[in-house]
Amino acid sequence: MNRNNSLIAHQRGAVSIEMIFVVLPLLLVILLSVDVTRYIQSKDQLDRLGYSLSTIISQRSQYYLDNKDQQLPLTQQQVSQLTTIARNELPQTDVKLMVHQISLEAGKNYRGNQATFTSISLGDISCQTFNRDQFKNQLTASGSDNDPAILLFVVEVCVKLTNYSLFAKLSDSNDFSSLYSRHVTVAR
Amino acid sequence: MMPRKTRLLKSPLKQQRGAVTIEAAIVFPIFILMIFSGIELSRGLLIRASLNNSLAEAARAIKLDSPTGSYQAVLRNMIDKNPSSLIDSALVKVTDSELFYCPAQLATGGNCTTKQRQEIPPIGRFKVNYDFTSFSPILGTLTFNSSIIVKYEQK
Repeated sequence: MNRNNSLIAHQRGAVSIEMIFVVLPLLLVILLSVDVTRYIQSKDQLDRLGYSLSTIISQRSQYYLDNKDQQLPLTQQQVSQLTTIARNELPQTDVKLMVHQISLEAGKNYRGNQATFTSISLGDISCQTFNRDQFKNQLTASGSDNDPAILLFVVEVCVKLTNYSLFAKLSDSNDFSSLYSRHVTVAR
Repeated sequence: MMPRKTRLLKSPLKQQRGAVTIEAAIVFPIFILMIFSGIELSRGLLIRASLNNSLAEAARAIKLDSPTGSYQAVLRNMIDKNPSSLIDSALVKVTDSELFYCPAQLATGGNCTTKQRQEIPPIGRFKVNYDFTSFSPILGTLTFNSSIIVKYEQK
């Protein structure tokens, strides 16, 4: 009788205990889904901002002029201003920015090895993926000797995420520890 | 009459009858609430992504015009044009719209030259918010904030 009583008594609270085993993994799945979605949305926000910054720098001939209305070269101060704009717009403060200026001379048939590169960055932009040599190889000849001069800008924005992702903490992964965005524009 | 031994054995069984049902009745609504809140949160995130997309679309549309037009009107129009959008355009509010005449002003509030103020198409910054009312009592109403910077092409 005692044994039977004890078995019956053990059934009490069984649903609650089972519920804990079901709810905890379920809660984790919901949290991870939210985490990944949040990350994707932050990346989306950075992409929009990167696009805006590249548009501003591509029209820098309107802003950075000397007393004789001659265009000033790309300087650290200009990149600092862009970085400050990015820092003001993003919730994260650890924002790094790099601007590459690529000059292609007129009539040079756009051969990559004749491109002139100037790169200015603010902060140690270790997450950058822009590769000059790779870019040079992508510049193909047009077959004409009358190509106009072109000035290109590549804007790279990198944001360090600290204590951001539950997914990164659980997986001990670096994949969710930073955001990166790159935009190429033609100077206007 | 039931023997005493059987009565003793049945009594705890009788006491336990329905215990699991009662427990389930308590636990099941919590479980359903959690699942439902998860679905509602996903719907909210989808709306937020959709809002960001509309924001960028509207920015591309207004940059070709002069900065005198209403960004909110263009944004609402963009949302209404998309029949698959989950956003209620009436709930989209442009809370802040400012024009800047040089990057220094946008970055630190610095001064721009007279020429920049008079001749150069400005940079616009728009802040938008959207109140998402979920059906979940846990989530309640969530406010999504978003912003975008637009470089106008025309003065």
